[in-house]
Amino acid sequence: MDRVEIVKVSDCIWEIPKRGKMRVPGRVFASDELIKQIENEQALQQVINVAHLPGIVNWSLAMPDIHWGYGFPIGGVAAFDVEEGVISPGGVGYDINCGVRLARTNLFIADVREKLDSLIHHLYNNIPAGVGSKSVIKKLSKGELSDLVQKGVKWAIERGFGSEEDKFSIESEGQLSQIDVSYISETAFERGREQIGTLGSGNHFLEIDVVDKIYDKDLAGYFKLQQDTIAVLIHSGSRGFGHQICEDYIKILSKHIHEFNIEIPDKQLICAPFKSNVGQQYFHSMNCAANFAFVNRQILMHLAKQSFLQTLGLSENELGMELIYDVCHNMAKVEEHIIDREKRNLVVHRKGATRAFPKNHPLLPKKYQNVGQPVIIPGDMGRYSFLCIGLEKALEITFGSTCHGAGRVASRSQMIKQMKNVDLKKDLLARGVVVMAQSRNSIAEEMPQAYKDVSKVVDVMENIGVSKKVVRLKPIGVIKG
Amino acid sequence: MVEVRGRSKELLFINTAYAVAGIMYNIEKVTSQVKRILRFNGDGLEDMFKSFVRNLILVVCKDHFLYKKINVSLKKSANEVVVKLWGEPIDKNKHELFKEIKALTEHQFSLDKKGRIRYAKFVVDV
Repeated sequence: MDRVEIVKVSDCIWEIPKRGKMRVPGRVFASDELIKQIENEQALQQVINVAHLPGIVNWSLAMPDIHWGYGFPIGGVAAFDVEEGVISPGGVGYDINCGVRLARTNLFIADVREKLDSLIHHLYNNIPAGVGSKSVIKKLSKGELSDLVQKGVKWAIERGFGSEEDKFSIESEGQLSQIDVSYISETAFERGREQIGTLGSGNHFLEIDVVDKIYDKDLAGYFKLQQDTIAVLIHSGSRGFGHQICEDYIKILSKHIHEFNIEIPDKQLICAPFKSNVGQQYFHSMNCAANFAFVNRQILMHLAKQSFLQTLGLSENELGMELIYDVCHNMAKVEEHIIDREKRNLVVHRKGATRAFPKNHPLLPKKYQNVGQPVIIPGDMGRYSFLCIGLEKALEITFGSTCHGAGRVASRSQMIKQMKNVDLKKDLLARGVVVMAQSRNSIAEEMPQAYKDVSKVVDVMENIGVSKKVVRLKPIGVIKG
Repeated sequence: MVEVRGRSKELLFINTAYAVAGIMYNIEKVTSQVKRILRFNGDGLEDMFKSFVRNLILVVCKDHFLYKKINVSLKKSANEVVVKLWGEPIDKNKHELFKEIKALTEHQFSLDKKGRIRYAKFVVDV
């Protein structure tokens, strides 16, 4: 592997100079410590590869949680001009609108400590997860699933999963309107029919957290979070429905790419001009999958709430579970940005990156206009996660984006080997975390050692003024597929 | 990265099926009670192979069927793959399930032949 030339621009900002057929330079946000890890990965070559794509604007970006992905790196952000640029399924990822949501409760650690085991068991039994899991909702017909992906989260709210208010705490209010179900394959529909309201496997999880550190008391108060408040964090996406759409369009676009005279340095960077017919077909299908994912997380939160109510014997008012925000990690969105003092419409690809708009941004919900967008950054299941907010600088240097998590440092297979002789549940219990999962390996692969320390990642984004910490959350219970 | 080899195309496909199953579940705990037949076409060997892996993923993740035994015949003239699977529906109380494979990716995919041995390398998204 050739070493990638990288130059320090300022504290926590590094540049990969433009060379060869790169259309723009690469930009990496990392501390001196993190850059040493990043430099040893193939991910920097992927930042360079992305810089080759037509219509890319300013830079090919990498957040500090960058790691190797299929085609685009995970933790990558790239914006393309709507008229001259492309859209790429590999720039969004297989799990379209994989994302996280955070809900707060009226409970404190003392209210759940004694019943934590029962609560985790109840959640594990109540929330379908892992291979072969089926929805708690009867298998949907194709017509019903079409209705679901058109209405987005409204579909779930109409059926009693959550309240009307929830949609104001979801990116794009949980419903993207530029959709067309006629561009979606029968196989994708078949995969989606039984998977709504299922957690999935891999790095997806549902976590009970406790607020263990407050960085900004006023903002924490705005989100109704205090020291020791119990919160629920959910990480899931569009399940087989989104994966099938990605897979279908990688295949479809591969057949069309010669028509567009686009050279790509990696097959997984397959793309099409955004305004082409096939580019629009992918965009409209991708948005359907995004709506599916919003509904999925909405139902998962409802199921979690039921488990809390039943296990703890509380009323809804006593529990007070309220959605703080739901953010996408894997999406391409058309957004207006200021480039060289001009307003331009860009297709912003965030793959393993979070939108982080500052206060007063027109796309933020009314209730967050005065504080900025809540940004939820999960870490690993043994340490902590963060609730942050987006800042003005994000619009200047990251197309309104920040990191999305800790970022892997060890592959899944490495972790299985490394954890072979470790009593995983005992190890996590010693860290104060109760865990239930479908298999031993799904715990081994996600042990804290597999990830960077998320606090170092979040600090980089705070240092460069892109997002700011509000509270730190510590996991106390986790369920996984 | 999944790396498989076989002494013929058919054996390469069969060994691939066992490798894919091994990622998703413990094949030892599955019985071969039910037979299923899959037929599909591909545009050449690479396309047939990719369709084969994708069909196996769908059998498990969409149809909730675990296979134990497999037979593959490749009809070169028609670029057709006929797959016979013997297994049973998923029973969460009986079977040991590991993880879902969500997709076969294009990343670093390769099919190769050295002497009489055929090799496949591919990455799946889990």
